[in-house]
Amino acid sequence: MRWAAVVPLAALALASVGCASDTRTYYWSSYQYDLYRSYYEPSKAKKFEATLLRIIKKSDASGRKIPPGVLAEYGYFFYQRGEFDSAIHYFEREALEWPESEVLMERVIEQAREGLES
Amino acid sequence: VSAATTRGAVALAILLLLAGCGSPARKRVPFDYGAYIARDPRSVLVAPVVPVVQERRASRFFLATITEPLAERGYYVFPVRMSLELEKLAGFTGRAPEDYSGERFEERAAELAALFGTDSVLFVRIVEWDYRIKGLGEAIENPVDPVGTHTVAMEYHLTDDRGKTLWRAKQQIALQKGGGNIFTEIWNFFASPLHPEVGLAREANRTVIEGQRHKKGRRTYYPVDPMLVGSYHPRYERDRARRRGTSSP
Repeated sequence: MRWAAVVPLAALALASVGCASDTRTYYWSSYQYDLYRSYYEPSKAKKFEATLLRIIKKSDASGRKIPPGVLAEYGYFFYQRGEFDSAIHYFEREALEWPESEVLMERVIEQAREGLES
Repeated sequence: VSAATTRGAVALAILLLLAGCGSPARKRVPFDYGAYIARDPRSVLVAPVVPVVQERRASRFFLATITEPLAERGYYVFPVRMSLELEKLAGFTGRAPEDYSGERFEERAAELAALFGTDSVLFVRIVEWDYRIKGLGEAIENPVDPVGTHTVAMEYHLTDDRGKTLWRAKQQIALQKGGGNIFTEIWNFFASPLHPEVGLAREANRTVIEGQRHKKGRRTYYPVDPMLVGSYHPRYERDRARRRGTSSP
């Protein structure tokens, strides 16, 4: 059963990697695979969080735009743990990078500030 | 008219319909992009997926593979994991499919748009997601049988922030199981207890958004009218200038 789980997951991971050589705008790392995995096994959510950080760091290092939603998604992990300072930092970065997210980011930043005060 | 005759007639009608779908010579009415071009949305929120199929986790699995193709098409895509949590808190999940139809559907779009501040909302219905064998119009639950197909079928509906339709499309991808190839057999042996449909959903999402149409190996793609490219796409300015001239994609 252990191996039965590994093979299709590995195939999906390979499929994700296979696309890395094409003409995509953004750097995605193993975003799809790790998000799927976190739904499949909720204990793997940490792996998805680490992948988001890798996308942020690698995009920054190579001067590419960070894919939409990645900064917010990463910040929300902090929000859920009650680490509101870090959450606000990433929500603000998302709003700066993507003006389309402003309404939502302002809302969650406000909620995080309330969390800080209580 | 006896019940058996009626059933026969219905089955025949379904068969004819299916045959019609498979024929490449079928004349398609191209989708009217007028409202889409006029609204020209910059951002897309993927709404909570309407649960039509039995596999309850299908909607979550589907969500994992929708962001990337949408973003690469040039749109701002709201973070799907975070959005789902917020939708849960706001009471959007766990609603019945009827709550996403007719007039209520427009209401849902407006509520979601107000909560997220999005230009457009993408509603998706997963209409097929299974590894069952099909024979004589009946789906038989038999995941260990090596003969049959993996199928996913999805309906996509993009609306503006008040529920007005901007784009509609369907995508169905079927992967033939079995066929004597040893690698295929090994794949099926390992994959069947899990979800090879996730890989198919990924392809369905990508091809319906990009409008790819071809037959590749044992996979069959159906022709679709793609999403227009969004404002972050390198082809956006050029396409928009052309659209203004001809009002077609």
